[in-house]
Amino acid sequence: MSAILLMAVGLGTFAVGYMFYSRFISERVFQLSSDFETPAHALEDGVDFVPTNKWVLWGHHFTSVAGAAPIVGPAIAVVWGWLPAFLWVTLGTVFFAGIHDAGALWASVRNEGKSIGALTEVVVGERARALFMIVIFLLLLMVNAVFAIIIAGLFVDFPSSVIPAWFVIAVAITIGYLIYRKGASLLWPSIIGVALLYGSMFVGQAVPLSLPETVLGLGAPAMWVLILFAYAAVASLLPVWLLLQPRDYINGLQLFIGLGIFFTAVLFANPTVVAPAINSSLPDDVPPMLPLLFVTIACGALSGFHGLVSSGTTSKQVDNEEDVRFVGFLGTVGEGSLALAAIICCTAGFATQVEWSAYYTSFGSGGLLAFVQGGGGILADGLGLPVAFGETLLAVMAILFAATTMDTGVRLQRYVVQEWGTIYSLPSLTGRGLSTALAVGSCLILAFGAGGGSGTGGLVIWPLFGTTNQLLAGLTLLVLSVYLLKNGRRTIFTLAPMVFILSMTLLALLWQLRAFFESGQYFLVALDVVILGATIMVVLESLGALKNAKGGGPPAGGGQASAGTA
Amino acid sequence: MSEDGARPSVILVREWEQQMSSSGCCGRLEGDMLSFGGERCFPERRDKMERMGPLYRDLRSFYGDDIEITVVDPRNMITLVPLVIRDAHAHGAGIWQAVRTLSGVTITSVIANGRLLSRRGWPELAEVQAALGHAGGEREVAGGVA
Repeated sequence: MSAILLMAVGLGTFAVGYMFYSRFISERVFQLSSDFETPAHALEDGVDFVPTNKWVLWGHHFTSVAGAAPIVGPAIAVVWGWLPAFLWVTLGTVFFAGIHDAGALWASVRNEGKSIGALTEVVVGERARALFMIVIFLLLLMVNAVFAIIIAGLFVDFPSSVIPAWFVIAVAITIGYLIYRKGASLLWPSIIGVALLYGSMFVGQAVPLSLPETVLGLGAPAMWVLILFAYAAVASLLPVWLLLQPRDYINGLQLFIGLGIFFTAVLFANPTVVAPAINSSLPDDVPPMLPLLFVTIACGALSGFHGLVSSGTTSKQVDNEEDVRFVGFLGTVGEGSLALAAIICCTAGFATQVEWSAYYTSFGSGGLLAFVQGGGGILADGLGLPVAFGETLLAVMAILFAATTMDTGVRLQRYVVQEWGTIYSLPSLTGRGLSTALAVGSCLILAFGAGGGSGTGGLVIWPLFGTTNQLLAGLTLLVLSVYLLKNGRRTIFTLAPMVFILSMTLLALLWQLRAFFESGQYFLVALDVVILGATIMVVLESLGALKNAKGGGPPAGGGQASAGTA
Repeated sequence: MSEDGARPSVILVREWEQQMSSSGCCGRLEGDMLSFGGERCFPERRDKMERMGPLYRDLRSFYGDDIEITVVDPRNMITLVPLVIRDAHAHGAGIWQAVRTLSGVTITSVIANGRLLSRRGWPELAEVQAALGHAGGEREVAGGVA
């Protein structure tokens, strides 16, 4: 099958979904109204609340939602064949993520731009809010461990990526100094910075760096994990303007450059999808597609974290409530496109099905390796880039996204630990040193506890990360359902995805629990039980909240379309 | 409307207090996770947002909807670049003016009708008015009649 055809069908599904389903949801369920006075107008202050052109807001929203996870999830999930991953990404984006992201944005707009966490407390209750924060903490813990393992794997598989991935730190610090401290213009430091980054990829190819097979008794992947957490600890302690902000800035540029280059290459190369539609020769360790597919691909089809984006800054800038459809649904489509690109890389970048199968010899084995090498092949065919350069480019792109997430994740965990120190009057926890050590320590325990001392098996927790992310999505869909119910609207369009995704999450957790237990991975058994406990609490909370809402009660904040003024 | 018939446009370039790229799927400094123990994660961004607020309010108060005011984060390149090109084109400044404007934009800048009005900060209301040619009528501003 032609990859262009697959891309066209995927993008076409997004387009049809946007034109019809999002219109239906916006008009019949959310009942978006240009008469409603959005918080951007009602509270307009030129600081937090600013009515903003929908295109500007879409760009802002899309840049904020895209990251490494929509690449990793589909790259692993194509082990079941390209069709399941493709269907979940396209239909999930339209029927799950679209309504989830746009719904969170709409609910926030209707409630003075409150965050989804705050809305959980307002709409469902205090207990749900506490649950929300617990799930986020679990999510952060897992994402740091998983991303460290992913980067370590890329460093080992693509030694040419080591120099550019570390060199970008120097580039970011220089750019940060120039634009934040010296007031330099953005354009030239950005162009020079990106040029240096791409230039460093050639250096990386000329001087590939690998760690020895064992260092201090640890394998190279394990040593890279340690180095990465040492980096994340230091990075999380640096002032944000010095490294985090400029990295953020460079990543934005990388995202647009990467997507642009990739889709152009597909158009010129027109590669053939060689992976089977449904893989009937699955390796022994691959879990059942149902339910694991739906947690292996979270971001790219449905991601609970998007609720935070929708209800953070974006909702305070919505000019016209009808723009919620454009910004919320199309922001999701942006990330769906990234996931679609990942599927094409991992299924069409190879000469034959036999070659493709060699990558997917076990669950998680193909993953980013297939993404980088498959994508490198497509860039070579479509744009004439040397294969090795294309591979380095894609590996570095994935590493930069993941490393920034680690930097942020460890910083967030440190903040949380420091806040616990304040709340529980434990002054030692409020210091930066101990709190960072605890944050990094917990991630390291997870990284090595999950994958063993080799530092290579940690992708086994990727589906657990997905379940936690879907749990967060389930909570957001619950908030939306209760909110709709309280305002006398149809709830089936949020309830059905909620029931489906929570069911898949629960089943996936149970399946993994048995698998971890049978293989003697008791650390993962414990982790699974914790997430399972949170899931059961979410389910119980959902049933209770929906029952209460059905029993009557006042409409939740600002739910009446007529409440606003023109 | 300005002399060339296009609606006057002011772009206020400044960052929002939040993390952006590669954060939306799995780790993010925004919303509930922007302030811990009374300290903000991005104090400098917050400071600029608050200090640039009065210019926005004065412009809105003076011009109302007669001009288009857009606040754009410089990281949002995918829309900042087309916006500047659109404004430069609409006000007869041309593509080279757009390139000149974009090459001069700093992390905090103000652009009026596609031309860079200030970099490394923001101007007084009067400077923006002069650049726009006093489009729209006189209205009350926060501190009196402008």
